Amino acid sequence: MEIKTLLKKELLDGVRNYRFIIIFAAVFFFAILDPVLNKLVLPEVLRSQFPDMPEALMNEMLFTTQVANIRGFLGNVYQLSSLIIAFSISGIMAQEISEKTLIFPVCTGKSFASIVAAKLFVYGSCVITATTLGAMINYFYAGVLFEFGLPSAIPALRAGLLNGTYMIYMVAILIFMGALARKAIPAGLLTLLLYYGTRLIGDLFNIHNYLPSGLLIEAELLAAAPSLSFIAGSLATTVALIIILSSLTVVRLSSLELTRG
Amino acid sequence: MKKHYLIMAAAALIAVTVHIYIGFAGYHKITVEDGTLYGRAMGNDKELVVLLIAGSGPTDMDGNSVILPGRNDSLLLIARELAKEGISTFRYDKRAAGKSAETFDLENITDIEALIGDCVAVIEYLKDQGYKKIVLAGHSKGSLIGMLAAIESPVDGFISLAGTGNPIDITLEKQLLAQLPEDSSEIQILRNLRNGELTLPVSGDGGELNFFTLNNQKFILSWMQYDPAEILAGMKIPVLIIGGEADIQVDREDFEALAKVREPHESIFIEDMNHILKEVTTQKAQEESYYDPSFPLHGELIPPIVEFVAAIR
Repeated sequence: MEIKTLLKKELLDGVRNYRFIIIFAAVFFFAILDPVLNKLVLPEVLRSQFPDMPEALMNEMLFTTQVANIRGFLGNVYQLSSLIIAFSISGIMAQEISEKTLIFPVCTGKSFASIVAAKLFVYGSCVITATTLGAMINYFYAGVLFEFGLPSAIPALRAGLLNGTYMIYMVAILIFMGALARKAIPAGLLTLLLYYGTRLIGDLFNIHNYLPSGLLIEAELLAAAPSLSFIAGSLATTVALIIILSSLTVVRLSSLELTRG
Repeated sequence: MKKHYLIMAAAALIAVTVHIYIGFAGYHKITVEDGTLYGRAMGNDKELVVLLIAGSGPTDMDGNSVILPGRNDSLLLIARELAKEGISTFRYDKRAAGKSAETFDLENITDIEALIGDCVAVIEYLKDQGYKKIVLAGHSKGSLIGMLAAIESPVDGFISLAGTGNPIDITLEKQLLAQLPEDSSEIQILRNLRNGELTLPVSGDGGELNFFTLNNQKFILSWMQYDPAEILAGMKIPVLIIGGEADIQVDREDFEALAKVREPHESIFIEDMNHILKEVTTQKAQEESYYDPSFPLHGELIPPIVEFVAAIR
């Protein structure tokens, strides 16, 4: 009952602040626009800027296959959509603390754990739905505009789910950073630092299978036969980190004087 | 508060356990004299199993190599496609590849007989596991290893996937001459090997010279004594020879060398299929298919294998 009320509250809050619309728009924008840009706009831009460029070289520079388009979309979601999403929902915890509204559910007997779980569930579901639907839209749209190069939609579906799972990790960081910084913008900045930093560390030390960033790597491969052990390892770390970050948030909230912001 | 610290500790512990478990789960361990071979089975049918044998270099059971960037997953894809058809497969990491490489002294791999011995050990292991019929499917160099292993430990069928048809020095010379001049050191080393001589010292600025390390020379020396076509001609079991028109490593001449020693219905040459069994129609796709796992297997590869296996069953 307690969690049901909190879920409803988060849903209403998300709708009222247009957060869900922003999340979907940030992902769908690239899902729809990327193939069009790659098919129609970018070749024209290149032709006008470099009229003597051979066609073969131009094709090397452009995304001319469905697979390349989906990879481009996934890259944009990781680099750009996440930026938009992180700042648009950076207030889900920080704002509630700074505006002293977190005291209301606490006063009605709701536990910090339930509050954190409700936020994670609502926004986590939203980001994973957005990335999965976005990947499917991109798969079909790029397939129609170019050619269906993948043997089925499954690699794209998998890529959307894996990318979305990495974004749930971002939401967990955001909630924790919100409790830590108590201000939306610093929370967003700190979140992005950890979000991008995780992949950077994975790249530097080649340890993606031990980090959540392995999900992104496997997503971008769009493999005909996914590496299940690689995904399982990365997923285990991601889930563990989400649990740890959520628990740390609860510990942090317990030590805060909520009426002071 | 204590509860939350316990939850955090439990989450971390479970993640660590999962990582440790992944390192060992699902592997079959086959102990040989100087190390352990790690393999994986796919499918539940105990009547027949297809043993996939990887090609040259440190190529692992999935068809990927540590010396090449990315993955192509060619052998893993074959196993998955055959599993969909209800055919069990077994793949193993050669002694120089994947998990098996951790248990062997790689400096001591100087003859092909060790690899043949490993394949025989895996065949014996599969027999011990209760598989009634065994079909070998060797890819590239794995084709020759399969042929030689089948002589030592009888099996029920043999599939050559992009296997060489000539002794390896001929294939190597062809590959080298496509990139290097006639008087290059590499060609000279190869010709010395034909006379049974090793070349010392071997130095260079990378590239092919690094390929001709002393150990590799010894290995090639042991390898070039075998003529795959000659061995295949003597095999008394059902055979299927598959070659690809877009194969830039093992060409049509190699395929023909194998095909001509068998009945015409035993060989298939697939248009636009490259060495790693993917469909490629451009030079760009040819290159990318070696490191991009999004490329599926050639659509015409699996049906004849399924048909061949069904006939043996």
